[in-house]
Parts: sequence; C-alpha cells; structure tokens
Amino acid sequence: MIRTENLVKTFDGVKAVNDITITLKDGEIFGLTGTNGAGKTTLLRILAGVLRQDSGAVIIDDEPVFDNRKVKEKLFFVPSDLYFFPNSSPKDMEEYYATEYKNFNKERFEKLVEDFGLGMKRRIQTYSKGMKRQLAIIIGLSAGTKYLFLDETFDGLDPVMRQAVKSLIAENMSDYGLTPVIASHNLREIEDLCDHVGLLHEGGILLSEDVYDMKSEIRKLQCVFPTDEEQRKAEKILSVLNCKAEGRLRTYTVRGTEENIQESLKEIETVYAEILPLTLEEIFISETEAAGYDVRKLILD
Amino acid sequence: MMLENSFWIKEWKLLKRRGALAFFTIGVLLFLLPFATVMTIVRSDQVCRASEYNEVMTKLMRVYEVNQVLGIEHLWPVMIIGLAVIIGIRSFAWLFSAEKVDFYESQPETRKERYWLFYINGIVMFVVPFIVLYAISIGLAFLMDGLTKSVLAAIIFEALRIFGVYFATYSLSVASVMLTGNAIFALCGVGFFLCVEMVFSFLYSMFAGTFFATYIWSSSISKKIILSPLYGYINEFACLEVNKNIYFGDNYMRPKAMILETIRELLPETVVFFAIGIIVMFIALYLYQKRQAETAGSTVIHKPVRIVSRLIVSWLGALGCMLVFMLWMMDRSVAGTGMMICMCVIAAIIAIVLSGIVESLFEADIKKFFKDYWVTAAAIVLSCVYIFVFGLDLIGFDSYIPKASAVKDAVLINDGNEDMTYTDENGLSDQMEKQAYIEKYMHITDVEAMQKIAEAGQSHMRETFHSDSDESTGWYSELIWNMKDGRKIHRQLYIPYDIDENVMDQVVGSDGYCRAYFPIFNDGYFEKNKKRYNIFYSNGADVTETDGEKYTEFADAYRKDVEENYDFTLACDEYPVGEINIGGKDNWGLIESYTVYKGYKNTIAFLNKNNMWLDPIDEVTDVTKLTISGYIDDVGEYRDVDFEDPDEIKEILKNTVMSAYNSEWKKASDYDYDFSVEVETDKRKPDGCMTAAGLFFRNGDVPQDILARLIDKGQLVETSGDEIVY
Repeated sequence: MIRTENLVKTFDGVKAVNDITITLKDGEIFGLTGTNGAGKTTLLRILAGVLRQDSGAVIIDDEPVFDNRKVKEKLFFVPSDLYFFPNSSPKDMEEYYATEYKNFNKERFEKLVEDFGLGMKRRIQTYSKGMKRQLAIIIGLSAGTKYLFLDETFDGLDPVMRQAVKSLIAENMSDYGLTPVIASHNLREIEDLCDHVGLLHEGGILLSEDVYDMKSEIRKLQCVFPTDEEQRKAEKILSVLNCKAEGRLRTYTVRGTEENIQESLKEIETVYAEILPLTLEEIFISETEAAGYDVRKLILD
Repeated sequence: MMLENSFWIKEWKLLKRRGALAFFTIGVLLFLLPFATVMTIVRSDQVCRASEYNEVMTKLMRVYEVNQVLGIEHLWPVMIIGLAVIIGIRSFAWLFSAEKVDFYESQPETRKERYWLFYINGIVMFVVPFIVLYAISIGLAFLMDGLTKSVLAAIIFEALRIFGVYFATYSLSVASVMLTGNAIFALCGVGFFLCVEMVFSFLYSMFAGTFFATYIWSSSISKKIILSPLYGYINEFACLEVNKNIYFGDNYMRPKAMILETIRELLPETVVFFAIGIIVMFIALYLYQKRQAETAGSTVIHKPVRIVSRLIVSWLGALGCMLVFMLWMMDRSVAGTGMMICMCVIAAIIAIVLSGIVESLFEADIKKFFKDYWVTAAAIVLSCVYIFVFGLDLIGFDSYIPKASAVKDAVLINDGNEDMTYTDENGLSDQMEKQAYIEKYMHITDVEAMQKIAEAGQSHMRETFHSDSDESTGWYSELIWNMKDGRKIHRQLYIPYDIDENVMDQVVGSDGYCRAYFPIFNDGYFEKNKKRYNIFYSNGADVTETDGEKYTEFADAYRKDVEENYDFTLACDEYPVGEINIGGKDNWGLIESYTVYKGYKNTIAFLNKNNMWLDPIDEVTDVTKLTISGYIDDVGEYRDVDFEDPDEIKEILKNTVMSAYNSEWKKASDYDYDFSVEVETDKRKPDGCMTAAGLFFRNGDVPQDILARLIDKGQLVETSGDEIVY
C-alpha cells in the first residue's frame, strides 16, 4: 500500500504539493489527474523516491521511500521525459535493468519488444517518440516490480498501442499483482483504466475517490422550474457545484447519489427534471471550477 | 542474479557505457607515457650521435630524458589535472539533467551506493591504464638502457605524486558538481577551487611587495602547505626551478642522494594531495546525499555558496584591478593616502560591476544585478580594508620581530657578493645558489643580536623605501627567522652603515654565520676533486700558484684564520692584502675565491711555505708600469694613462687597495670605482691563471694630479655601455 501524509513540496516559494494525504491500495489502478501545474508529476516523482519532500511522509509498504533501496526495488518509474543510454539498443537496456532489478523478466521483455516490432538490437535513438514510450512501458512491465508509476503514459501512443498497453497493464495486474499509478491529462484513458482517481489542483488534492463512487456521487441534473421561487428553493436544497442556463432549462452539476437527488426533488416542483451521469471530464471541470479554476474565464478574458 | 548485481559487475558495465571517455583517457596516457618515453630516448640518441658523445654520456642523457618524461621534473601534471576535471565532471554530469536524474534516482539504489559506483568508476578509469602504461614505460626505458635505480625510485615516487594530483583534483571536480546545477558552473567551480588560493597568494605577494618595505618576493614561492593541487604543483615546480642547483646542478647527473632529497622535499605536499582527495571525497558524498533532485539545470544550488563565491569573486576582482592600477602607476607614490583613496574608488566600481554580473549569471536574469546588494557592499568594504591594511601596514609587517622564545635560529644573507661557489658537502651538485646554500646551512643562535639587527635594518628599510635617492646608505640583506613551529619568516633588511659594530660582530663573527657563509667549511666537493684544480694567490699585481693537492693544507689554515679573525669589523674596515683563487686545470675557469687579510697568519704561513706569498700592493717595489683608467665627467669619456716613473708609481700605490669582492660588508663608498689601477711587474704570471681581484683607490684618496693627467695625456678607452672593454 502507498500512503502519503500531509505531503508538502515547495519550489522557489511555490507549493507544488500542498498538504496531500492519500492512500493507494494494492491491486487497484490509481489515476492522478489535474490542471496544468497541479503537481501530478511532482507527486509522482516524490512517490518514486526521486524528489525528497519538504515535510510529510511517503510510506510504501510501511517504509519511507526516499533513499530506500528495499522500497525502490518494488517500484518502477516511467517519467514523461524518457532517458536511454546514448547509442544503446533494447538489448543494452535489458542488460542494465537486469542488474538493477532482481526480478527483471528477460524473456517477457524480449517477447514484448518483438511483439511491438521494436527490434532488440535496433538503436533507440532511431525510434520515434511513441516507440520510445512503448519501450519504456515494456521495460516497466518487465521489471517485475510491485508498483509501476507512469507519467503521461499515453502521450504519443496511437489508439491501437493505447489499447495494447491497457491490456498489458491489466494482464500484469492479474498475473503479477502489479499496482499501477498513472498520471495523465487524458481523462478518457483514466476513466477507462483506473479504479481510483486523485484530482489535483494547485498542489492540493481536490478529491480522491473510487471512479465508481465519484461518478455515482456527482450527477448532472437538467430541470425546468415553473417559477423562479421553485428554482431558488431547489438551488438551496441541492448541493450544486455549478449551473448552466439555456433559456428556462437549467443544467446543474449536483453532488449526491441519484437516490439522494431524487429525494430532494420530491420537495421541489419542476416542469421537467432528469438525472444524468457525468463523464470524468465533466466531473473534473466542475470540481476545478468550484475551486476557482474557470476555463470559460480564461477563454473570455 | 546475485553476480549480476555485484558492485564490480556494475562498475564494469558502467565503464563499458563510458567507453569514449575511457578511450580518451587511455589515449592521453599512451601519449604522455610510453610514446613520450620512446620518442625522447630516440631523440636523445640522435642528438648524442650528432654531437659524437661517448657511450657513458649517451646513457647519461638517456637517463636524464627518462627522468624528464617520467620522473620528478616533468611538466605534464597539468594535463593530469585537466583529465581529472573532465572525468570528475563527466562522472556526475547526469545530475544536471532532469531526465537523467529521474532515470538514476528512481533506481533501486541508495544515494551512497550510487555515489560510490560513479566515484570509483572515475578513479578506476584513470588508475588502471595509468599503472599499466607507467609500467610499460618503465619497461621500455629499461630495455632502451635509460634507467638507473635512483631514477626508477624517482619515477615510482612521481607516479604516486601524479596519482595524488589526480585524486585531489578529481574529488574537487566531483564536489564542484555537487554544488552546482550545470556543467559550465561546475567547471567554474573547479577553476575556483584550483585557483583561488593561488590568486589570493599572488595578490598578497603583489600588495605586500608594493607596500611592505621589508617584503621579499622570493618568499612567496617558498615551501609551504598548499591545498590546491594545481597551485601545489606549480609552486613545487617553481621551487624546484629556483633551487634547481640544490638538486641537479648544471650537469645531467641524477645521483641517488639528490633524488632522495627531492623526494623528501616533495613528500609533505604529496601527502596533502591525498588528504585533500579523501576529505573532499566525503564532503562530496555528504553534499550529494543532501542534494535536491530539482536543482538539475540550475547554477549554484546552495545560497550560502552563492553568497561566498560572489563575495570572493568580486573582492578578488576588485583587488586585481587595483593591482593593475598600481602597476600602471609604477612608482612608490602609490603608497600615499590620496592614492589609496583613489584605489578604493576603483575597487568599489569594480566590485559593483563584478558582483552584479555574478548575481545575474547565478539567477540567469540581468534584472537581478542589484539583488542582495549587501554582498556587494561587503566586497567593497573588504577591498578598502585590504588596501588600508597594506598601505598603512596595520598588521605591523614591516616592524615585526618575533619573540626570542619562539625562534629556533636565524639566517642573515647579504645581497652582495655572488662570487663564492657553494657546493653541498655530499657532492650533490657542482654548485648551489648562494641563497639556497646559506639558508640550508646557516644557524645563528644569538637571537638577541639578530633582533637588534632586524630592528635597525627594518627601520632603515622603511625610511628609504619610498626614497628615490641612488646613494647607498646600507647593506641590503635578507633575514630568515627559523621558528620553532617550523615556519620560516622572511624579511628584507637595509642594515644602515652606522649600525652598532659590536652587534654585527656578535652575528657575523659567530660560528653559525661563518660556517655557512664560507663554503670552505663544507668543501667535500673540493676535497674529492682537488687533483683537478690549481691554487693561485694574487696581490692584485702578480699571481703565484701551487698544485691543488695542497688544498687540504690550505683549507685547514684558512678555516682556522676565519674562526680566529673573521668578524664584521674586519670585513668592514680592513682591506685585503691578497686573494686566493681555485682554478680548474682543464678549463682554466675560476672556481672559488678567498680573501686574505693581514691577520690571517695561518694562511700567510701556508703561502710562505709554498713560495706563494706576495707583498701587499702598497709594498710592491718591482712595478714596471702602472695604468690608471678613469671616467672624465668633463669630457664624458673613459681614458687611461700610463705611469713608468718609480717614484710616481710608489706614490700611487700608497693609496691603492685591493678590491674585496668576497667581503659583503664593505661599504659601497669605500672604493672609488670611477678609477681602476692595473699593474705590470717583471714577474711571470702562471698560464691559465685568473684573479677576481682588482685594484682601486680608497674613496677620497685619489691622487689629485691623476685627474689632470688623464685629461691632459689620457688615451681614449673603448667602452661598451658603461663597461670598459679590455
């Protein structure tokens, strides 16, 4: 299990990670998402033991991460900016990682490299960006670690490769007990893949919930009210995150389960009311708007 | 799997990945060691063949060349320093890149393990080819007959010293990487570590030499503990050059005792190199363990280091510019208060500019030019304090006299008289520099007398330091206090002519002084080689000789006379009656001269016994012709005039005295050097004889009619500059 407690990291007076406390359970896929500069990469680098936090704790399997060889043997980090040895081939990288990771699975690695058409002896510097990313993921999946941290994993991958990677991750989870942590802007991928999502904004965590719970606890409500008074009453009773108006039609993002919202609606008179599920993207926008990050404001200004 | 993870397997794999750097290192060492050894021996043999040297000389030259390439005298530690800097920075340059930091720091290794992996790799990359190629070079030198046991010892020691230089520089380079965020600043950091001590020392010497009357320039390259491997190497090399005659003389011999002496001299500094290497290695480890990974790509990562380096750079830069200003002024008026204030203004301007530039570079933002202006202010204050401390001698440099209880002994070296030949008793060389010899052998233990001389000499030096007068009013001398704690304190003295003679007698007549000043007390070389020399005696007019086999007898007599008679009063007040010279049979060169005074009974007895004695010049009666040469101010030319009348000759000789080149305590005003006297007698001079003696008039005793005769009847004398061409 991965745990953070009141994690803080500051760069030049700016809090990149601001008092984050989260728990990542084994066997789940944790998705880290958020606005630009929210602190996703920073948090991931702290979890991987690359950065040292200013305060707070990062505990993996009951041990602190930073400068801890035993813990780091259990995790593999694939950063967004990849590095391979100059003039090296996948074979060279395999040799290297086999010395670093006790459980590195050479057979699996070679098979995956061939399956992805990368070529064991081909120079990595001749690869495209996407191919390099594929290679990095393959290395991570072959390292035989318990945790896999992936930063902006799906950037540069074509749709077919994305599906392939998702399948591999799922396979590793079931066959090898892997626990991936994925940081990404791509909410569609996170929604498809992740069990648990952490939404970061300006270094802090806005929410950290199971995807299912998150989607079930926040709904879109489309209503038409007979009078303004009923509208105001509704807005008081319901836990409204934001509201869009198109004529008399009101579209609310409301916190609560479908059942709770329906209960609340019983007290209000409506001409029309429909409860709809939200996509993760819509939840993301609503939550960040509530926190003051207004995309429309940026566009209009 | 266990084997794959082992440290040395990882080292080997890292070495393979860094193959380009390893090959570069091997290439450099290949060129410096075996290639250079073969090439210099081949070249030496060609030169010897062309010069028709015999086998012995050819081998000697080969051994000399091998020592130049592989031994103590070579010049290429500077290249080793360059190599260490490149490898040191390259080893940890991954810390400058965020991608590489992510790559390495996420690996299952502690920082300590990673540090040692990379650190040792840089050592191995150098040491393995170094040892192998050094061994090959020694083997080649042996096979080409260019090796002796003593030179082999020198080579082995030098290999150790070279490794020490590499180790220290490599550690400093790694530490510099740990303090910075990019390669350029890391390079600047190494340059800072290697040079800052040298710059401080240089600036101190220049300021001290300009402001302190009693400062001696040569003391700045005396042996001392130095931390920077670059400065340490340069200083050792400079010391070896300055004292080259101590070790190697003018010929190519490299005997065992000489090599061992050199090794003993260089050993403390070599130990310091290793100490620096070890200490800085652990400091760099500590810095790495504390380093924040996000500093990749920044400049200098720790604020205190930024502040200190900015302060030092702007302060030294300000001092350097003040120095340029002082040199441009080129006269002693720079020491005036007005000029010092002017220099402070210059220092302030330079400090502001440099401080601002450095801060802008640190921040990569020109708008930060005036950030933390207090650092700039501190640099200005330091510069001004420095100039006033030196200008007003606030540390009491020129009046410093150590406490007697802290002094072991002292050395007094008069600047005059370079004509004596000093050799080491072990025969390490043909000749030593006077300075080095006396410093080694003189031990004056009358500290109280030395303190009085120091007080008078330093005071007189201060008074005359800013004077433009050409008139000589004292003796320039160097004083060295050998302290009980091992330090040597040097001061330049200008001992006034009116100093208390009794005090000077206590020192100049002491055993400690005489035994060092007169090389006859350390004449093992002459004893061993006396068959090669003749002994001559001259009274300024004639010369007699005897075989060098009599040297022992002469030396015993002369030593006794010195012990019984020589003191300051004798050397200052008396004029010699003659001069003994030692000259080589083969090349007729003059090797040594010894002044003889009237009271030297033992020496005079030796001369009489060997039929060498000649009457003093004022008692000589068989002069056939006397020539006086003199400079005529009125006509601006040198003229000479001959005298053949016996009565005139007798009168002239009454005022004629022999020069005492070997007496360093004669006043410049004792002789009138505008006139010289040459005497011919009917005695035959021996073949190949030479004498340093000249005849002059006592100052104020030039016969009145001489000048008139020179003007009236004198012949123009050919001159070269101010020198008469004989």
